Amino acid sequence: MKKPNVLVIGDCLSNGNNCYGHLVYNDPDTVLTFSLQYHKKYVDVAKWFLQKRKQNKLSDYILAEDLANVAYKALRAEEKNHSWPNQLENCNVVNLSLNGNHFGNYLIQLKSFVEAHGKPDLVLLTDHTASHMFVYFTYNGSKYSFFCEPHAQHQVYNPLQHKYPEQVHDLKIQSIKRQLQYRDTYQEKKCYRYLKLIRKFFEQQDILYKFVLLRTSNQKYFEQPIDLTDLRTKWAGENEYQGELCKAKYDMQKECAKRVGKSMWM
Amino acid sequence: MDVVLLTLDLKKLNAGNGDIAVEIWLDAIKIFDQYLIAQERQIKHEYDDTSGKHELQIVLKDKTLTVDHEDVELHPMVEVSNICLDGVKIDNLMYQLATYNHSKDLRQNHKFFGRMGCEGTVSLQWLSPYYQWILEQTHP
Repeated sequence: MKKPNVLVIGDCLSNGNNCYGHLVYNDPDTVLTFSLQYHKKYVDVAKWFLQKRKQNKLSDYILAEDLANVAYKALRAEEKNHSWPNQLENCNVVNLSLNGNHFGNYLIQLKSFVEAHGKPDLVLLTDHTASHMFVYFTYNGSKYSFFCEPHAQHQVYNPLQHKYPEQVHDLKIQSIKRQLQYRDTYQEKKCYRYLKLIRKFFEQQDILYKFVLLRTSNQKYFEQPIDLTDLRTKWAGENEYQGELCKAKYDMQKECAKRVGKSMWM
Repeated sequence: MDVVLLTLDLKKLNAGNGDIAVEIWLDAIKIFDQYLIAQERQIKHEYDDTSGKHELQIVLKDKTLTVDHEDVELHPMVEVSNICLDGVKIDNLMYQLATYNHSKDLRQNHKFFGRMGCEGTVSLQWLSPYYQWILEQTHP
């Protein structure tokens, strides 16, 4: 029998981000905020990566100048592979969850996935951190979208890193700064707006979907979600800036997958 | 103890019948000293990466020239490539940072670009742990 195709879109709570932190630092009490890439912990990641390569007796070369990127990509690939969506059983999972993701970008990811691969049998969408922002505008006839944290307002343009014109970068920064001047309810309203568009898309396309709730404060967005909030409390508090207990996050992924697996077709 | 595997490939070029010999030293310990007879040779050596500074030295010596049937001199050369520390290839760092001191040339500190034709010594120093040193060079 053909396994159903399940598409998962979410943020750092569904892509395994930081769940290998205790293995990188060889410390079960490791707590991490954001990501190791954000904190530029390339030396620690490279050490973990090279030790692992040695254990696996890999003999291919890595260029010294690629070491940081190759090591970080390998870490993220392993973390993502361990994430709860990737542990869902009896289905083919495509996990498009990204650090910093936003409902606005979920819609873009969803539409482009359906356009490229057709309709999945089920879509699972998670909530995201309240501080995530979404910027969307048109410049010179091209559409640009960005999802980010508020600190992106201080980002300096780097042509090697940013694969778009400097004018686009300036518009992005202006938009972030403008959004940060609005009242606190602005971001919430924006989330509701994009969720409405996502639901409309699901209905128009006749796609089965479920929401997965991980943060108690986001309860307001979803009706009858698959609730993982109690499991998430094992590795993080409601204030996300206090960080995640990496080993607990690692250990709870299987439990999250079991609970989602039981409820996702109901 | 953190043991790191140093590997590199040696290849004799423009050989004719001329001789050429190579010594390789790591932290003042000789790990290779031979005439290159076979075209290609891979060197492998494990070292302890726990102490601070390390130095790789590749010495080209005992070079003899031959002439071809048109009386043109043939200079044997050695290509040094795939210089790796635990599989991380540092050839480009060698080109940037290594010095090549020719034995019969008063001008010193030539750059090294992968081939040694003049008798002399190519040296590269790095600090342990090697991956931190690599990242400091590649992501300053």
